[in-house]
Order: sequence, then C-alpha cells, then structure tokens
Amino acid sequence: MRREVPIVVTFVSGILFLLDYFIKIPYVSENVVGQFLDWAIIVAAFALILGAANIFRIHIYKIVKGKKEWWNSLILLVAMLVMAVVPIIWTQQNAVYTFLFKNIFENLNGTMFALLAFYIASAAYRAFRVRTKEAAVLLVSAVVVMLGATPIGAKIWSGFPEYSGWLQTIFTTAGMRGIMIGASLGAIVTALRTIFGIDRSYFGGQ
Amino acid sequence: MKLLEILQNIDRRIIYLILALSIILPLLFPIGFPVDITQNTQDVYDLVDKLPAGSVVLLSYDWDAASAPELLPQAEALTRHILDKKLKLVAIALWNQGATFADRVHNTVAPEVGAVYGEDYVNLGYRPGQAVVLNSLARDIHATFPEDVARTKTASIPMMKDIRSIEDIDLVISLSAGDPGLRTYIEQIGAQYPVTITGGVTAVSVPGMLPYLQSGDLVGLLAGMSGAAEYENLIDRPGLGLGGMDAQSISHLVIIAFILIGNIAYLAGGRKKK
Amino acid sequence: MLEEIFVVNRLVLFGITVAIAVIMLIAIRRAKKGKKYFIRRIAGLEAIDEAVGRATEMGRPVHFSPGIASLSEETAAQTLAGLAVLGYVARLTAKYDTDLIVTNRMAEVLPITEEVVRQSYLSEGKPENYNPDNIIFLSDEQFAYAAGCMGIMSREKVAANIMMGAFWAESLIFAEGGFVAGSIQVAGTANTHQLPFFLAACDYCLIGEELFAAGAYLSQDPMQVASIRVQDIGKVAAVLLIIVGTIASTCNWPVIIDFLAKFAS
Repeated sequence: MRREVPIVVTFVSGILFLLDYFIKIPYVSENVVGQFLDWAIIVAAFALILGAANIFRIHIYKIVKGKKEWWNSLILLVAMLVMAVVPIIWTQQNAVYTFLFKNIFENLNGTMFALLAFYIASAAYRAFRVRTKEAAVLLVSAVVVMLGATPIGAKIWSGFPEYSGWLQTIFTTAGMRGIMIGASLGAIVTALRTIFGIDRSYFGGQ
Repeated sequence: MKLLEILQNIDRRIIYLILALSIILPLLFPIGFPVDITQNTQDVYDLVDKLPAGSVVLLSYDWDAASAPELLPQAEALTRHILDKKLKLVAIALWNQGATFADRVHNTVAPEVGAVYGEDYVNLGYRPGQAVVLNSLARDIHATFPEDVARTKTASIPMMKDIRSIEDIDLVISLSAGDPGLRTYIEQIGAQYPVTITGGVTAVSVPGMLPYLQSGDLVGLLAGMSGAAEYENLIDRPGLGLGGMDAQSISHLVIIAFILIGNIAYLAGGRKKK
Repeated sequence: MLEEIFVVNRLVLFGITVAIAVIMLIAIRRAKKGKKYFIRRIAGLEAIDEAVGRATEMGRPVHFSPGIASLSEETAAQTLAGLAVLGYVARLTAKYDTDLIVTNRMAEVLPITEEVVRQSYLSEGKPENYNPDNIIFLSDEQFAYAAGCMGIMSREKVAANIMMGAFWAESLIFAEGGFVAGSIQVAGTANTHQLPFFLAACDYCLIGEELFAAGAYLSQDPMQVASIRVQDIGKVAAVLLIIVGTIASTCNWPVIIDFLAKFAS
C-alpha cells in the first residue's frame, strides 16, 4: 500500500491536470479539476504544520537537553509563535504584527538580500580573471552590461546602454533560450516519468 | 611585485567595506544622475495609461521584504498611476509578505489620490498554493479569495461584486522577486486566457524574462530599481526609486574597478598567481 | 467540434507532449528487453563521489539542499530531480558512515526528504545510522532559510556542499557560505538566471537539463536512462522547428506562420 497509493494518486492527478490543460470538458474542468485545485491548496497549507512540528521537535529537544547555544532555539520558538499567532487572531493589519514586521523582520530579511551585493563583488573579483580568450569576452561583456544598466554608464558613453541591450537581447537571450528548451524538455520528461511511476524518487525510490 | 600580489588577492573584507561606502555615501549626498526611459518601462506605462477609467487591474505582490528596495518603489509608482487614472485595483499576493506591502502602499498612495477602499481598490491578501492559486483564481476569484486582509467577505465588497473571474480583469501586473511570480502568470494565466500581462522584476531576474518579452507573452517590464525610477519619472513623482539610482551607479563602478584591478595585476604579474 | 473540446492554440503542444510520452514508453520497453542507451559523462555528478569521499576523510558532514521550490509549481520537476540526487548522496553517506545534513525550505518537501534519506540508509543496511534530526526544515522564508544554511555550513564546518534543485537569489549566498567554510561545492539548477552565480562560485555545476538527467545517470536504471533518450530526440525536433520557423518568418511564408499562430500561440 505504501508503494501503490502514492503512485496511483500521482498518476490520476497528473493525467487529470495534464489533460485539462489541453482538453476542456466543462463538468470535469470546473468540478473535478477545480476540486483537486482546492485540495492542493489545503494540503500545501497543512504541510506548513508539518514544517512547524519539525522546528518544534528539533528546538524543544535542544532547549530541554540544554544543548550548546540553546537560548537561540528559545528565541526562535518565541519569535515564531508571536509572528504566527498575532496575525491569525487579530489579522495581519494588527499594530503589533505590523510593528514587528516593519522594524525587525523586514530589516533582517533585507540585510540577507543586501549581502548579495557584497558576495557578488567578492565572487566577481575572484572569478573574472582573463585566463583565457573566452574569459576576456566574458569580462568585456560584463563591464558593458553593468555600465549600461546605470545612469552613470550613459553619462560616460552613450553607447553603453545600446550595446548592453544588444548583448542581452541577442546573445544572452539566445543562450537562455537554448538552456530553457533543454531544461523544459528535461522537465517534461521528469514529469512524465513521475506521472507514469517510472521515477519514484519522491517517496524514497522504492 | 609584492603590490601586484596584494592587488590580486585583496581581502574580501576590504572589498565589502569599500562597496558599503560606495552605497552609503551617494544615499547621504545625492548626485542626481539623469535617468533615461527605456522602451520596456514606457510599454508598461502605456498599458496602464491607455486603459479607460473603470477598467480592472490585478496587481500581484509576489515578493518579500528582501526585494522591497527594488519592488516597493515599483508598486508605489504603479499604484499611484492606476488610482490616479480612476482604474479599479485588485491587489493579491502569491508570497505571504506581499499582502503587508500592499497595505503599506495603499496607506501611502490612497489618501493622496482620494481613493476609497472597497470602491477603488481592494487587498485580497495571500493564499498558499502558488501556481495552483492562479488556476483557481482564473476560474473563480471569490472562491479563491473568500475574504480580504481585514477578513471582510469578498462578495460583500462593493467593487468585487462584478469582478468574479479572470475574464473581468483588463490587465494583470505581477511584481515578482522569483517564482511564483511573473513567469507563473505568463505560464498559468497568459497561456490560457486572453488577458495582457505585464510586470516588474528584480534586476537579477531580468535576463530570464527577456525571452518572454521577445515572444510577446509579456508586454513591457520594469527592471529593478531603475525600472521604478523611470516609472517615477514618467508619472512625474520622484520617489524611492530615483533616490537609490546614484548608489546603484557608484556601486556598479566600484565592482567594475575591483574586477579591472584584479585583472591588471594578474596580467602585469605574468599570470603566475591564482 | 474540435474547437469545442480542444484548446485549439495548444494543439501543437498537445501533439508534442503525446509524442514525447509515446517515444518515452517505446524507449523504456526496448530498455526492458535489454537495449542499452548511451548517456554522456557528466563531470558534476562524478564529483559527488569525490565530495562525499573528501567529507569522509575529513570527518566532517555533507550538506544537501534540494532547492527552494515547492511541489506545486512549474519548477517542481527540478525539486524532484534534486531528490533523485539526494537518494544517491544519502546512500554514499550511509555507506561511508558520514553525517548528512539536509535542509528544507518547503514544508511539503520535508517529509519526502526524510523518506528518501531513511530509505537510502535502509537500502544500505544501516537504518540505525539514520538521524531524523539532521533532516531540517529551517523556514519557508527564502532568506531566513539562506541564513540558516550559512549558519549550519559555518558551525558544522561542512566539507561538501551539494545543491541540486531550483534556486533563486540565495544561490550566491550558499555558494559564498560554502566557499568561506572551505567546502567542495557541487551545484545544479535549471534556473538560468542563477547559473552564472553557481558557475562563478562552485567547483562543479550541472546546467539545466543535466540536472534532470542526474537521477537516471546516478542510478544507471536502464528504464530511466532510456527516458533521457527522449530529451535528445526532443532537442533535435526543437532545432528543426527553430530552423523552419526562422526560414518561415524570414521569407514570410503565411501558411506556416498562420498555422503556428492558430495552433501554437
């Protein structure tokens, strides 16, 4: 049963959604597929409870056993509970939630994203060395695109935005398309393998 | 020779420090580089501008706090333009923080243009389920979003009485920091329904959206903070986007400078060092 | 009649999907009868053995991330492909008694990663070594997840960092985190806009379709390898279509252009 049930559920829902994309039978499309969509949304929401349970299990264990830096686990659980319970009870327009969101969460999250600028600078400095002719082409293209994307680039030379656009729309897009076509075919085949039960890696490969 | 070695192996903390200064200083002391309008931004502006009053625009907040510096200015500029043109605005979110930002944008813009909640604009909030939400929304908005963020029944909101499915929407705008987002709209909505889709993305996502622009699946695109700055120029309301462009310009120059320094030292040093 | 049932502008796509499914089933049938299909060497996947081996020698753990996509969007196939690699990595770590830490961003992927790792330890005959506390759901917040991963990489001094699936802006954060921790890094994604970051910062990188071939490549399961064959046939068909389309639009042949506009728009 542990093997058959997931395979049957995957096959039925996969085929149903796939066919509904191409063939519209009014009753099936509205009621059956619509019902599956509602279920999918509900299952996705319930999966969050599983995730929360995992966090609780791991961090309560750390706190109870007094593991190294257990207080971080305590802070995590308190923060998680406050940010979850407050908007559930008093909606997300509540002043406490809005305050915490704007003054703590938003800044922490923004900081993580902002780190990218520093990492890009450091990685680009390390990686962009003209070791080969191809690397030289890459370097020149990168400089043109970066300057073309900012107002100062146009001020230095009016050709930067123009050539930046040319490089992106012709070369980058051509390369992207090639990879996208290959990846899309891969995705289609992976999806079909999963629907037909040939690839069962999603439940342990048994 | 030692100098060349040092220049090839600059400590990453020095790079971080100089980059930080190149961002902070222009924010404190603006230079005011002129911002030119690109065709993609102009196309987004034209789509909104040419809609007759009363048309319905779906604005999707598909981003989180991390992308706010790029996408919040876009959302503000677009919302200002939409409400100013007396269009009906339906805000939803495929990312859970999106609804909070929608509230913030509405609270800033609505009083300025005299828009009324429930009549001119509405915030239906976030639903989990990603692409599935869009499939569901296209069929029945009221079933997918039964309540707004303040838990008012969607069916009882005056402007929502006639807005029931994707067929009642005239323009879809997704401001997205990834998936689910603009690409999901193109694949799930654009591929199935005859509604125009446009949007804005973070600068890093732009190359990934270019094929969709060329194929016509996507009409117009706001590209990161510069897209927001251009839109602010078009509606003649300078905001957060234009304010950040100097910092972006200078920081780009600094990164280019580091790349060039590393390469000059590498070439001058006889390419011996890694 | 046709227009009542079929979504007309998807007829070409429907034909292609059916063709791919049929060719795949034929290839699999032939594989069952003993036909062997060739699959080219993928350096990034060979490097996984090296990475796990290095972690074993150093007595330090391996970190695996199946990407940050859910199972209900178009990037789900990347997550599934990542899970196939996870099964292989988990069997290696089970075999060598090396710690494996799996971090998850999507709650719905968590029970699947738990099951994949548990089954892998079971199949290697070491169910007692499976540690459920090492399969961690960090947060469904993208950057909270990224911060959590960086913390684990630096605290646990991860020796091998394997990232297979759909990644977005956190890709470079992971790769730099791994670089600072001194890990050997193998990454794979079909998210084209993140490939440059992985290529710049990782030791090995699977590009696009290579990720989807990973499961078949690592398992060497004849049926899965056979299904990869379809990707190659699809690519040849795509190249032919591009050539025909380019000629048709350059020469302005209305028959082909109108056909595509009506049935494949």
